[in-house]
Amino acid sequence: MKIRRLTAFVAGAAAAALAVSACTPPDEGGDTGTGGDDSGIQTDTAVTVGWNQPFYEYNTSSATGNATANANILYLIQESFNYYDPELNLVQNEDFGTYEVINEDPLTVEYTFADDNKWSDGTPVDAVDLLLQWGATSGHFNTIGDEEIEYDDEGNVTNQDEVDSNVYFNGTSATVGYIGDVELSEDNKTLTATYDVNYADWEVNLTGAAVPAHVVAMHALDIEDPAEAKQAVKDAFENEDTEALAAISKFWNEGFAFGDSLPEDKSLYLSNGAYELVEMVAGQYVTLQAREDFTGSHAASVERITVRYNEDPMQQVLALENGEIDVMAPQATADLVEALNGLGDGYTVLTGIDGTYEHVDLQFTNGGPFDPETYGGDEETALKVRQAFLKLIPRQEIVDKLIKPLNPEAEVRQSYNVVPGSPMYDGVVAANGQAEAFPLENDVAGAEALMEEAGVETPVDVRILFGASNARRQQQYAIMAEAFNQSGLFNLVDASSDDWGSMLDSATDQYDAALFGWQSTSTAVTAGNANYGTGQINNFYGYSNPEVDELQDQLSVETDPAEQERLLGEIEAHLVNDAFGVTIFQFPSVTAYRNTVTGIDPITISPTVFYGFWNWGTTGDTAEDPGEEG
Amino acid sequence: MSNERNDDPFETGETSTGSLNPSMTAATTAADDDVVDDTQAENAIELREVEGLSQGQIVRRRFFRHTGAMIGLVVLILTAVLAITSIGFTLGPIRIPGWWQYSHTQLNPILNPRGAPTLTWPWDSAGFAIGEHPFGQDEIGRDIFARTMKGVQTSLIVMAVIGAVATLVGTLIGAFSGFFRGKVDTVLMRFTDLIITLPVIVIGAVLGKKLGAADPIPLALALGAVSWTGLARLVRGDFLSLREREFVDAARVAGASTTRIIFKHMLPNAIGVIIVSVTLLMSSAILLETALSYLGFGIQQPNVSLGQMINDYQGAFNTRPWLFWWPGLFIILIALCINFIGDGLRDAFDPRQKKIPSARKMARADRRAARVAARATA
Amino acid sequence: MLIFIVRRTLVGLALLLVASFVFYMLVDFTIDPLSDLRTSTDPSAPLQMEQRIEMLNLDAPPWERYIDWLFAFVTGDLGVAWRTGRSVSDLLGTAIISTIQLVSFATVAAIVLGVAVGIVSALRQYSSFDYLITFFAFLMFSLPSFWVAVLLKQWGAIGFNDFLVDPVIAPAVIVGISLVAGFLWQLAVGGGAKRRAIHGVIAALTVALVLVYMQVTNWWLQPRLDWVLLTLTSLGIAVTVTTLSTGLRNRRSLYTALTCVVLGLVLYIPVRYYLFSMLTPSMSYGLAALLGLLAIAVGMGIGWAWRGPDWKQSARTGGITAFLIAGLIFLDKVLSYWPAYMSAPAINNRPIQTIGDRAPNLGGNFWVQVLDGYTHLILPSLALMLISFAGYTRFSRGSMLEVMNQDYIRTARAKGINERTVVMRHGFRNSLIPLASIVPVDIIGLIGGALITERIFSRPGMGQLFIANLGADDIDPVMAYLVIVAFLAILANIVADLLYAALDPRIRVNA
Repeated sequence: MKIRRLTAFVAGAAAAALAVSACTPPDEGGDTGTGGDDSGIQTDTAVTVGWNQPFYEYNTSSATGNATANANILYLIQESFNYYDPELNLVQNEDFGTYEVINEDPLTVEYTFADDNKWSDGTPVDAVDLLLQWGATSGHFNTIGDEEIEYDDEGNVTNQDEVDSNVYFNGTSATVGYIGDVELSEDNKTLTATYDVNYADWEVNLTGAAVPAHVVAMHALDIEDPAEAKQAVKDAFENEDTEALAAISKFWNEGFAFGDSLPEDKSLYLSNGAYELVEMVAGQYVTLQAREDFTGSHAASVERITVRYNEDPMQQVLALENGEIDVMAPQATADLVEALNGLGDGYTVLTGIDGTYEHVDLQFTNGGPFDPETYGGDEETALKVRQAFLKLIPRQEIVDKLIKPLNPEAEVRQSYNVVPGSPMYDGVVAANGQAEAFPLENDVAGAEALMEEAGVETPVDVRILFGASNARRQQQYAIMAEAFNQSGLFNLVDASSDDWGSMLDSATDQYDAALFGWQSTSTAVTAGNANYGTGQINNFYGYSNPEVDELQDQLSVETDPAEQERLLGEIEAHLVNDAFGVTIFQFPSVTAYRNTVTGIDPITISPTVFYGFWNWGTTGDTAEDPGEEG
Repeated sequence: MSNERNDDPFETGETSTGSLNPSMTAATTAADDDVVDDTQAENAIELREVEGLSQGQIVRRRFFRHTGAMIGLVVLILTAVLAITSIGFTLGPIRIPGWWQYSHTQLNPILNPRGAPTLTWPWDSAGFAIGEHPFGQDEIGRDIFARTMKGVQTSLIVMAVIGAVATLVGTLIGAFSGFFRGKVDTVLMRFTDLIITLPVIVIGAVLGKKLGAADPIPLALALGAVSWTGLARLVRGDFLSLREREFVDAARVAGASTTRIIFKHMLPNAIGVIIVSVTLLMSSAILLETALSYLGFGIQQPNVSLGQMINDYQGAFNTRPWLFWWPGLFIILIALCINFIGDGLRDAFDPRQKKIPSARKMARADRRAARVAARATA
Repeated sequence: MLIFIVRRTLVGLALLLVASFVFYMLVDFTIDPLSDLRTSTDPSAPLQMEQRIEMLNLDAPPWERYIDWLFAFVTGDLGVAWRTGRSVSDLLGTAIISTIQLVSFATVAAIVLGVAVGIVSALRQYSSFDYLITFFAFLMFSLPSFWVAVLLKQWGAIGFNDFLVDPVIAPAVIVGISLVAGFLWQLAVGGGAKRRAIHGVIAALTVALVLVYMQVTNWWLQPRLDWVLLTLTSLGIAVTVTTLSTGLRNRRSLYTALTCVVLGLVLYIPVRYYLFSMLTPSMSYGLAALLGLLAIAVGMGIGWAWRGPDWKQSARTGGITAFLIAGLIFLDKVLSYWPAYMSAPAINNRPIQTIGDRAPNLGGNFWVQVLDGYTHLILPSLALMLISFAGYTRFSRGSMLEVMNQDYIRTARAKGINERTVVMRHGFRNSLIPLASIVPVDIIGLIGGALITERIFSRPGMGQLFIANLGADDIDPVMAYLVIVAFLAILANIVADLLYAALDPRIRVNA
């Protein structure tokens, strides 16, 4: 065929095609030209929360699943016996069940489950679930110690057969271990827990079931029927059936870790709360949908909640501005708060405090300036040097310069144990005398007098250990250094390191004072002992006061809140008198959300921003664009 | 298509080696004598430009004529001088003070709200003024100008150390590999392949996690120790072709030792490749340090580097831009200058990328050549 | 050749083995798996620490752990991220896909744009255009990439989304954009003042017309390729592909390409409206790829049908053209869901996304999800691309300059071939050969660059996996990442050598 003819043919065909197709563009309405019906786009009300770690495991009690990111999600899908209200009071959740102390000595607590408390597959939530929780986390049933398990280097167990034939729950809690025995009622509605050792914080010790017992048994023991499975768990624990418990423990440890998406098997993520998991994309987000059959008082008001992961707070701000997330609760910094405030009218920014507090602790036994040994064992001299040092720490200035811009209501924290705003704070602070001993404005005259009495040659070199890459600590150090150097009494030496965490313990001769934060996850009154009890694990400083230890022993078995408060006050008064250290401030927190979302009311400790999700709502006016307002 | 293939290198059978031997320019032009007119014209222009000059002079001349490179060089020197003299520097026990009144660690009362810069521009209502803290202050009152200058010092040092280590290692490995060939070559090149298997930033992150917090020097040494691979390959390629050249044979016959041949005879011929490659390497080094800081594996407080500053203050992007923009500006400035210098050096050392003369220029050269020819015949 | 490949593969494997040992020791030296426990207030911390030492075998010398790791690794067990208890192969699955998507998008865009700009820059060496491009390339080199990413988010996402609320470009802005475009175009065109002026004016007018057209047809809110755009783009593709593939002088190739265009236009309605809609429920990327292959087959068939002595070249041209045109129709179908996508509650009229690789709570069919994938991909790949783009402009500029100084170019000119043919056929195509050795290396660089991009845009890719686990002192995922990247690098180098040898017969691969 000649080329020219072909060209003509092609041109003709083209013209024909154009003519044909031009007159038959199909009806756009039925199709998708305008976006039509087959797009399948979701229209439920939804709130998206930004968080800095992705969700990855359902069992928050196992060794691997114990993380805030998991706990937050579980807060939405599981209820428990109690929860903290905004004033940090523990409130019993009667939808879930009730509990009461039925005997003071030995401490005995009776837990009763509500009748209509059910998992989302219809199986009741009952004492067997709590039994499993106790059995697993108390460690009483483990027949093989942690040290007997052999691992190769990527954590694969090498003596798997041996471990499999033994019972080994990997997430044990020493305090749950205080409960020596439990007893279940015939109908599985009540569980009576008897403590071997009385424990002051019993109320937050055992609060619910991390995983449904029947699901564990169904998978571990290959049982079809949920009721039968429950019975099997009960039997296994009551008879200490090693074989069954071994299988149960294995599944409990490993069965609830998720891969890249939700498992096919829906029983692995049952809910007994307001929401259930419906979608998960590893490393990105999880989505929860409101359960229609949930009857409790904390029922969902928003149809979907998505928790989206992004570890960089500034990127979260951009995402908030771009409408990709609706709520964020990052670690607060001044610029972040300012950037959030700069978003404009379409957004609300709440500032407050979170559960971590900053403090300075002194080394008592390293041969440094605060060690009596340095002065030939003269306790008094060392005490005066310590007191003088603590008097000079410009606590108010630090708070004013670094924290106030983030949280205008910030105050210097005055208690070693109690979170500001929690019920016991005022009482304990009044009793401990920290504010008088170490005034907010640095007391140069007082410090000079003390140093003179001590008769120590000034300036004294003090090495301060803190995280080298932490900007805020760096700034605190700068402020402190300025104040101390001006006084002429002490000369601060920067001993900061990125390895500060391990140096606290392993290199006590490298620093004289440490500046860092401790985090409180509950209002438990016994937690502080780890920091100042003789030989306790977080007492890196060799501090020892038999009276404190004695009071602490009393406190740990005291279950009356008023008495607890008195004991704490006394303990802290000793700490102040011994110049153990000072607390500086509670970490600021910030929560920001689009005004299309309502009802956000974060609390100081976990679950922070997720508290009160049952009050959340959306104004539904999705067309309103915050970009214009901001 | 097939009938025109003969133009392509597919069948030319020759390849250009990229050598920079001084004799090269002359040799090429001489060999081209009998090709077509316009080539002759081009060469005439080129020849006239380089007549009677040594290779070093030619390179220098080309480099100094490269506007971009010259601006880059001047700005870079000015920046370095500013950074060194303003806040002074510490060399071991010796501390040389600068003319700037604040040090980078000193806390000062915060002047403007939120520490905004005191620098005002001529078009501001207040007119041009530098003020106490021209670049502003951070939240605890440290002077950002002093910190930026300190950052420039650190970044320049990091850059120089990375450059020096990479040059040393890369040149030696490349030179030995290319000169000795055989087993030595195999071993050295496999070693190079080993290092090259990972992007530098990945190795940098691993090393930085351990070394980042400490002094910047160890980090720079470590980074230098992994960023020489490209250079080594280039130098090896150069040496492979250089060792076949007559002047090497001549030196060998004259009884020169191997070391002497490598360092005295061959290395100077490869210097162009080395310099150009190192310059570009240094500009990427400064960004590497910045990127590592961003990932949290770079230089950390209390050390100050530009990368670490913009990383620390990236949260201030919208709210206190001066914390972010000034150090960022200096990073860009330094990297830009070095890139331009590198470009100028490449143009100066590498005659193959010479300017293609414009039609007008060629016509003029043609006329001149014709006149010369006419006069010669006359 | 075969011996070469086998030898290189063996050497590569040995290299990988040594590399894995070195990396393992290095990472082991770097991390401290106990760091978090040292500051824990948990009373059971010492117990946990002991447990962890036992679990990770931290008491054993590192080489022993390496041996264990290696044996597990070669048997396909990549280990476990002990902190979360998830298996590394699980973690890698989606991460690899995400990274490959990002890197390949960025690579293709960078090569196409970078080479185009670089070549023009070389042809106008030392002109204002060249200086401008050089300056911008160096600026790109000098910008910290996370900075670029933040700026992109600020302007590309938030700014553009704000614009979409009421997408009206003010006339003054249209004029401004057009003038700038015209100015740049006349710089790029070069030549005499008259020629430049004419080209500049035409370019400015074209841009202005396009902008007005988009405005009038409400294109921003309802983007689509209608007849006009489809015809124009298809013709453009046909001409470009033919030029690059065989040169326009090869008439059969050109006719093949044009036939593909006509066929594309004929099939536009049936495919776009009936076939795709019918397939919607069962549509997947696999099916889309199959359709793409079908298009290539049809294109090659057309090329074959035009016969001629060099029908293979026509088939090549046809295949590429048909594939690209089919891609256009696919794109149009995807774009048709734009309004629905915009108004979805999960998107809320802010389509350009800054985090993740998909929007939660969106739902939607295949097309919506493809669209969603693109809106998430656009900014990260742009950020990643910019750096590499600068590299390609410099490289192809240098390469082009070198080629243009070769004897065969002089010969071609001397033969009286017109300048366009010299540049396109002899210059341009030969200047692309050295790219073969740069692209694989550049891809490795981009994988490195993805560390930062993925982090800023929180895409769950390999870089993110590496950084997060390095920070968390979790050696197994880190090692998996390092070994995979090392493997890719070694592979890329072998491929580069082979490609180079295949393209340039002057290079011999000797066994």
